Amino acid sequence: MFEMIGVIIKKELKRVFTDKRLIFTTLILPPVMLVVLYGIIGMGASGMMEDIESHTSRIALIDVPKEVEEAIKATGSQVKIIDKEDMENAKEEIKAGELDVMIEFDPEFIQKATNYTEMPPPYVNTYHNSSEDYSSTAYYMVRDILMQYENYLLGVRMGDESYASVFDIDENNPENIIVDDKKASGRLLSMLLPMLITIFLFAGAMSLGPDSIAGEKERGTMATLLMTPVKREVIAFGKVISLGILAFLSALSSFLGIVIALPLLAESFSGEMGMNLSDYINYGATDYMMILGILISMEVIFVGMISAASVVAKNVKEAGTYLMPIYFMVMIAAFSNMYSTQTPSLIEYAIPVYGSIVALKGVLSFELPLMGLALNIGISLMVGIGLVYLIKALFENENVMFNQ
Amino acid sequence: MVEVNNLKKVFKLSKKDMKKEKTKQREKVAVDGLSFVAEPGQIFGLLGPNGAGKTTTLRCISTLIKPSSGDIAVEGIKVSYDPEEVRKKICFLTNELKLDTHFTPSYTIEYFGRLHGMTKGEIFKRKEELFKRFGVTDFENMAIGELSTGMKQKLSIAVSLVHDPRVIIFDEPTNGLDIITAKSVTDYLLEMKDMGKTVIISTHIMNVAEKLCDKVAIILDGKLNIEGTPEGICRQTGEQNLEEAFYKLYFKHGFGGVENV
Ligand SMILES: Nc1ncnc2c1ncn2[C@@H]1O[C@H](COP(=O)(O)OP(=O)(O)OP(=O)(O)O)[C@@H](O)[C@H]1O
Ligand SMILES: [Mg+2]
Repeated sequence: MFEMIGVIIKKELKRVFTDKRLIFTTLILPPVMLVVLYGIIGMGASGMMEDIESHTSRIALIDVPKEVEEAIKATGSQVKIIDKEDMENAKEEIKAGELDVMIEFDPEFIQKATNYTEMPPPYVNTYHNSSEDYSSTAYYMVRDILMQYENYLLGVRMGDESYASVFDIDENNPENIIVDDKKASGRLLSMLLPMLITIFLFAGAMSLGPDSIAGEKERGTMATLLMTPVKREVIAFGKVISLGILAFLSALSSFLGIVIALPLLAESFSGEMGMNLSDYINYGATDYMMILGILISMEVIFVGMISAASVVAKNVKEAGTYLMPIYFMVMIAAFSNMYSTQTPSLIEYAIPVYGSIVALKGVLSFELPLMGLALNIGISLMVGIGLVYLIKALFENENVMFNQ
Repeated sequence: MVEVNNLKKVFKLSKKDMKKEKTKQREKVAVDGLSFVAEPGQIFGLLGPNGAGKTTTLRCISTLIKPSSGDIAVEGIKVSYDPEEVRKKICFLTNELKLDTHFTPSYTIEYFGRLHGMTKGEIFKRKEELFKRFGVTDFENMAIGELSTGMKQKLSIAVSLVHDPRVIIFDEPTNGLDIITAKSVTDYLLEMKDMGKTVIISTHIMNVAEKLCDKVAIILDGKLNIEGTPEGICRQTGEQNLEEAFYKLYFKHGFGGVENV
């Protein structure tokens, strides 16, 4: 029996590896696409940041005190003094993105600020456009300056500027961000990778499964195979295992693409996310073993579902329509997990597919309980075996095998 | 030897099938109480119009589908009891069974030989023999997709015979072939018969049946109408040839022979 399964697997692998078109679409194209895509996103992002940094902010001022005006000019911004009557025009300009920020001071600002015991406090209004990156950046800069100015005025009131400053925040503290580098990069990876890997794994199996089963039915080569003395279950196992191997290779090549592409993406956000290639190697051999275990057990479910749908379908097209909703469910499971920060309860590991993604996330952020791992792999394998038996039953059902 | 005893095959019809067949019935009796024996060293022909149940009968013998009732024994082995063992003894050829066009003839025959449990040496010997017989040798390393229709057909026959089966079942052997290729196929069937194999074919071309078959069974509407040698059937019906005999039987049976006509 095992010998025959081997014969079938060998043929299935040969089928793919001697077909340039299939090699290209399942093994070469996905990682190349990822690298190109992430490269473009990365380049775009870093280009955008440089652009914002090099942009000269355009700021309109109404009745702004000299000190503030000087401070704004000192940032290299382009300053325009306007009258109160021009305010509406200026607002339009902000909306159109031609002006970044407008600051309006109380005309009696100085009097009110100095005679604060007799008069109400003066107003200061700022206007900016939150949908424009230039405007937002300029707005933060303006707020900083206004806060400094407020502190300065407070100091004047108290007779000495130093009175206004009660404490310094992180003035002489280079270590203000203390993180475990390992956990920090782990957190980021644990957010992205489980989702991506899950989708790759499914997509890889989906690009090959329908053709290897529904396609064979459609082309009439399955009937030829069914005329050989091998048992139906041997054919079913052979097909499922070879699909598993191929889907894994396909996911692996996509993963390789990610390993190359992520640093490209990270470079543009460098500093903030602090990621470099060496962070990947923070995982130990046991971590990799756990990842492999989770992935393989999840893949058994994927390959099982895809094979079952492909056996039932009359042709490749029909298999595709059956698989679309399953693909959606897998995507939802993958995405719903991406941003969750709570520690998952043990029962979550027991949900097929979803649990595997939770577990992957756990391994990557060094927080997976052993019980969760065991539960997840156990349940996944059980579901997988159930599916394999379903496929075997389908293979033995003549209504399914001869439903052209 | 193939013994078919009171074979009945009922298909459950889906809603779509019911529409296609223009019937309100939920079931279709494709073969109804069919019995016959095909002997070694003979070519046995199943004759009948479209939809008579010929393909269904052959598929039951080949273990591709299961009889609803009745039983079939191939070389003494019941199909319901050990289908794998039955498949070792037979080959089933139809236009519906195809080969993967991506592979070469050489690889394909090796693959199927392996699935039949043959050793590399056995396969190699058999391949030489069959490819030479069917003129595939010159093309054995081309992709099957690049071969002509006739060549593909010959290759299919060669591949299906790799395990040297005792029983050869052929659904519409000459369908879609030009007369040269058709002749090479029928010649081969005669050769197989002379080698003492049991050959069963289905056809609705009476000339083929008359020339080729030692014994024929005419099936109308899933039921055996008459069985015997072509000469015997002609004598019984008092007609000159099988074609005339067939018409006579068909009209005697009434227009129920083909449903929904
Ligand atoms: N899988 C199936 N489901 C439902 N009905 C079927 C199925 N297979 C065959 N039939 C029906 O059974 C009847 C016999 O079909 P079969 O293919 O055996 O006829 P045939 O004698 O081979 O005809 P032909 O000469 O056209 O090949 C037909 O009415 C056909 O529609
Ligand atoms: Mg037929």
